[in-house]
Order: sequence, then structure tokens, then C-alpha cells
Amino acid sequence: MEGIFKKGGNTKRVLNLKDQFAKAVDGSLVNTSDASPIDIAALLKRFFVELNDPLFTFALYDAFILSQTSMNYKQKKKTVNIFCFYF
Amino acid sequence: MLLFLESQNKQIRNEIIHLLVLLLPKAHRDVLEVFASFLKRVAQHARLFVVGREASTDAMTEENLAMTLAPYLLYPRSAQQQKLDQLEQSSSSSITGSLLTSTEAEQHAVAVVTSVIKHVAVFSKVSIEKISRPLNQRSCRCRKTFPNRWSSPRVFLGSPSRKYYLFQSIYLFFLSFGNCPTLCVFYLCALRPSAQSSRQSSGSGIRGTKIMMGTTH
Repeated sequence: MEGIFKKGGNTKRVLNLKDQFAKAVDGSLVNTSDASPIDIAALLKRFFVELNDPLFTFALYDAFILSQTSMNYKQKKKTVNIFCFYF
Repeated sequence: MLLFLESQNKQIRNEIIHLLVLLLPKAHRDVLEVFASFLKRVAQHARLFVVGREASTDAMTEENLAMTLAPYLLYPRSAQQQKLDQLEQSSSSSITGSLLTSTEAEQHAVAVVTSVIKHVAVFSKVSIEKISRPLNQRSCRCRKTFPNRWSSPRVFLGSPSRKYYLFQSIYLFFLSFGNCPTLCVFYLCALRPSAQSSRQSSGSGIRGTKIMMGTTH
């Protein structure tokens, strides 16, 4: 499948899938054999956006971004240690 | 030389991301492991696809996957409402993933997600060395706050000797001076009179012996 996760999928079908998954709380399986992979990928993406706290949490956002900026080794050590101290 | 430096820099970055992933809450870490390993499999299929045909820009390699998913996985608190609005707006249009990464922070976020996808197998494991020695010599501060998590490897291997405890307490004592210089000055001031008094007492002792000597002579 070319460009999976890139395409948004049909919103109606995605919302329909979401409802099915919401109903299947008691461990019953949802039949996704008819659904297209793009819709399922879109649903997965939607799930991650609707989380209260994103996968890489808000608290650690600054730390993750700082890790990629070009600092020297000592500065990086210092920042990570500061975060260790806070948590 | 430059290439070498660049590779070293990458290693350090990966190490830092590894430590940060360890700091995530457990639920997030578990989901991240499953999801990232799934994405890695997707990327492998993209490679097969590329081998079969000409290399196209649409093939979902790790970088492309990260570029599409990073805005949904790693964003600041200020952008949360914006993301939700985007979801609502995009209900009519068919394409949501074409979010061009513009700012520097977003590019960094993409880099983080890329390296996480590439190194899931490493990031989902923990070596005892990494936990026991978190990067710096000031790690005893972390040990104080997390006695279980950051405890030294000696505690794992066997009960530490009394000597080790003594050494550690002395080390902590001196480290506390490093943290507040005013306390250090105060300590020195407090020490000086006692040193003088001891010198005086020793002097008197010597005088005393002299006197004694005089009396004997």
C-alpha cells in the first residue's frame, strides 16, 4: 500500500470503525476485513491525537526537542540530569 | 574527521533519547514499543517495495513515516487544541497527512520519532549500567530521589561493605559544599577558632612540659 498513514481516509468510514471499536469494550473482536488499510491507519492516527497526553508526553516534550539541538556533550548531560532531577 | 564527529553525535543523541524513553510513564512506553515495532515492519515492506520498482518518494520509509506521524505523537501543550481543530476541519477533505514540517522544533520532533522507529529494539531494553550511572558524577542527587531506580550496581550484586557506606557518606558530605559555597565559608569560619584553640592548648602543653623540665632540672 503506497502512502499508508499519509492519506486521511474516508471520514464517515473511519468514524463508523471508531464506533464499532468503542462498542467492543468487552473483549469482542471487530471485523475489519472489509475496511481498507488506509481507514484503519487513519483511525490509529485519530486515536493518538485524541489521547489526553500524547505518546511522548507534554512533560518530556522540551527534553525530546532539546536532545536534537546541537549542543556540546556537557550541556546535554546537564539538561538530561536536570530532567532526571525533576521526575 | 567530520564524519566521525557526526556519527558520535548521533550516538549521543540516541543515548539521550533512550534515557528519555525510559522516563516515560509505563503505559506510554508499552504502547510506544508496540507501535514503533509495527512501524518498523511497515518500513521494511517499503524497502521491499522500492527494490521491486523504481525508488519513489512515496515509499513509506522510517523517515517518511516519522514525518507524517510526528505531529500526532510529539507536540507541545500549546498545540493540542490546534490538532483537535485540524481533525474536525479535515473531516471533509480526504488528505490529512500532508502536514509540512516548517519550524525547527517540528523538524527535531521528526528526527526523534525517526530514531525511535529505527532503534525500537534497543530502546525497549534496559541495561543495568545505564540505570545505575545516569551520565554524570552528580548522579547521587538522583539516587536520593529514586533510591530503587538509580541505586548503584553494588546494591544489586551484594550487600555493600561498611567501608563503602563510609566512603559514600564522605562523598556526599563534600558534594554538599559544592552546592552551596556560603555553607562552605561558614564551615571554614567555624573550624578556625577550634583550630586556634587546639593550637593554644598544644602550646600550653608544651609550656607545661617545659615548666616540668625546668622543675626537674
